[in-house]
Amino acid sequence: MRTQTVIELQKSINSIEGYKNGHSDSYANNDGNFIPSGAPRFDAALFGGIALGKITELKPDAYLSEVSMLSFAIALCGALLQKRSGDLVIISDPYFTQEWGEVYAAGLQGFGILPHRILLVTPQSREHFQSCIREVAGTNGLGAVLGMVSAKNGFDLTAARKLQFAASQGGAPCILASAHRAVGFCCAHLRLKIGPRQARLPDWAQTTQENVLMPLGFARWNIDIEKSRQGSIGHFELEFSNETYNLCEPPFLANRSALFQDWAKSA
Amino acid sequence: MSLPFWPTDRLYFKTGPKAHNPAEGGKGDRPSALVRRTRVGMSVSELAVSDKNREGGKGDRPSALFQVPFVSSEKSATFRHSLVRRTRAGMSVSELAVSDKNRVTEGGLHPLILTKSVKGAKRISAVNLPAHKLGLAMGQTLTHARALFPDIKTIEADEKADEQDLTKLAHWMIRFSPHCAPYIFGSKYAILLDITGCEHLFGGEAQLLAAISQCFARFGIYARIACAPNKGSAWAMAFYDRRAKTGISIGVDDLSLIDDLPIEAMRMDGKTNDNLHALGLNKIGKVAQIAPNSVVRRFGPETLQALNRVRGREAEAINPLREISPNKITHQIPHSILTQEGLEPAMQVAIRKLCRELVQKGQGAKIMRISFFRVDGVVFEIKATASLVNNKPETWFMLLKERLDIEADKMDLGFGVDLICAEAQLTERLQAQVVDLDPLSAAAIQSAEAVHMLAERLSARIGAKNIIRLRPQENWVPEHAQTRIPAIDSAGENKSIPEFIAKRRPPFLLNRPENIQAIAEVPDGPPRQFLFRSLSFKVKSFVGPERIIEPLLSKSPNAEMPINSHKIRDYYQVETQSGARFFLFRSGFYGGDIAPKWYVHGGG
Repeated sequence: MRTQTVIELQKSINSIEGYKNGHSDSYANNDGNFIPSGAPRFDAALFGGIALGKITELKPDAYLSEVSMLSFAIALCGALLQKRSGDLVIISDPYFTQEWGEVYAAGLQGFGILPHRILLVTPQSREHFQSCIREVAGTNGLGAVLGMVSAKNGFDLTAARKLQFAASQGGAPCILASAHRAVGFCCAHLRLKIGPRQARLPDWAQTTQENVLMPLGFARWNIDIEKSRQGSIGHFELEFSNETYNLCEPPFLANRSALFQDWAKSA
Repeated sequence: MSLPFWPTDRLYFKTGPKAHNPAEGGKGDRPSALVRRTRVGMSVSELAVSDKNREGGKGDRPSALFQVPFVSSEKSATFRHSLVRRTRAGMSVSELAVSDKNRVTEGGLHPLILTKSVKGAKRISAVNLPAHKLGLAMGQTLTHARALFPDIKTIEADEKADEQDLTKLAHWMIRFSPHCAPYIFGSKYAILLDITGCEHLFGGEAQLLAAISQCFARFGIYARIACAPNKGSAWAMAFYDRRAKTGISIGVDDLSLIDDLPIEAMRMDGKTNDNLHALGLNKIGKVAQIAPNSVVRRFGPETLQALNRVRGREAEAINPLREISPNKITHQIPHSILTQEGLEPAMQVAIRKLCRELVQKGQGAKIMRISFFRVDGVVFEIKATASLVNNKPETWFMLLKERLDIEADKMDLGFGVDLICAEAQLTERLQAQVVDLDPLSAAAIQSAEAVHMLAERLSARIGAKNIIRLRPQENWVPEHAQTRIPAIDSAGENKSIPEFIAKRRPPFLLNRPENIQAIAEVPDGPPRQFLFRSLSFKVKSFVGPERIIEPLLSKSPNAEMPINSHKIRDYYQVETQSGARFFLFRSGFYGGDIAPKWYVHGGG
């Protein structure tokens, strides 16, 4: 639970930034520069959704969660590109390429991102990485920007601030996926901690034994909102539907017996 | 004969000229060192240019010829000092000429010879004037020379370095004509220039030849110039006519002057020359008097071809050093520019001129190249590629400025840049621009343009190969199912992958599948548990198998696949108990001699 001091401080910040209500639960008075992700409670916690022209930082909760974080970043970009025109520009890092592989067009299409909408930038040095990501973030007309930040290419205070200004000029949602060991500064509007989660099981599978292999469901993640400028912190489970190409929260089995509900919550 | 000289130190691209060591007589000041070299010794070179207007409609392409002396070069600081010494002592060249007997060298003149291995023996390939006065000559063995003069200074000839220097000089001479090429025949080094249509830019043929002569005088190279209607006669006049020392120009009517030249001017092999000399045919005119059939029967068809070429009856092409682009402008700078900041406005002027020309033709450029010519014979270039054909000077200036900023560290402006040349290398007719009144479509067009311009800027900054579009390929094997192409070369294709494949592929694919240990049901069940990067994972859910068979490359297509062939992969998409997802495959089957192997190919 957030302390009262933090809540009061956030209200005052919101009022300084022009949000009349200043209440983190309502986004009726925002300036409209948000794109809903598709999960209503999650969007409400973010005061409208993913902010345009601002930086959203993703961090994994463990080393092995890096690949889940990357897939969440792709899923988030896919959900955003359903609602925006323009291309997705991915600024990759040699660390991620070496650890988890290169961006694969077929897999991205599974998340709703067609290959001709992808522009991949592969800078080879830290200076190039930072100048490229600033250049991309400051370009108008893009659908989304995804930057992969490793420990080697982290930002200092000045670079982070420059990136923030560039993002506000460009107006596209700027998502930075940081490696587990990445250190550095980031003037993020929203910071999420991502962890993997098992997919939802189909109804018929809920009474089967532990050692029975299940069919694969929609990808699902644990999301912790660590920081949100206009929103509130919290924990969410989101999954990506590759039928609607949107993020959503798993439906809650409200009309089942208590036994099943408990089981579903713990699964 | 002039004292040969070859200021190769001034022609090294990256290092540029350096101050000379005062101990060796140089005062460290570049201009005075240049003057000193000029006073000390003159280089021997021969230049021949030809004019198509003089050829009389024979269809021969006129050619120009420039010969530079053959000099060895070393690649160390030691060489630079020794080069200075050699300069004052007199450079050794294959052909000796003393320009002015009154130009006495300073200090001690040391005899110097260049040597190279010929048929297993070290022989003299060039001598300087003091060595020549001692009686040493080309072709003598080094042993003989050392027997006569044990203290004679020798340097190993470096033909490759000389050829590189010649090529660099030829690059610089593109400022006079784009049709320029170095030419080496035996030990004779030359540069060919086709000045057809170029002379009026310099105020006439005589002015052009004078400008060339002045440039080489400034370098300290004594140029022999011959201008003729064709390549063969130009080469012959340059090397074998005395008047080429001060410059000579002949027309179609003067080709009879060729007849007085020795047969070596026909560029034949030594054996043929010996045969002709043995018969007393030591002039081209004497060979020309023989009937062509007899020449062929007696000396072979090559002799007749050589004769026809030197007399201009057979065409001989010049292979230009660089591709000649039709859209090119040169911007002469009245004073030389010594700083990068000074280069940018001059470059902008050149780009505007070129773009104006393209606009008049209704064309746009995809690649633009800017060449900067230094006053002392060095050329450096920058090139930029646009993703869309365009003729906007602002766009091109922005792209080329990015390249200039990146290349600035490698550029040494030396004594300054006095000429800028802008070329549009790849041009196309400009398509009409699409303007859509529908705001959504207009926004889509605008964002497409924004992405193109972004790709251009980033390509100029970090290289085109690092800005990539992913193009799907029709291939079942996952690693072959996509290619990466530079964004500026992509033509905006809208290929996509079938949905049923896309849903079964991970968003990230490893370049090289990682071998893992896995426990799976036999014969072809999914993995239950596997060890990946020293961590154990239990599989909770999966999709698969998806069997992919790689085609046999060497065997016949109808050959049966052996059961343990590792060309068969069974792919599974698995999710572990923690929720992490992996893209695995098994290569081979259980039950054979060789155990199958499991790999992780991707994740996410």
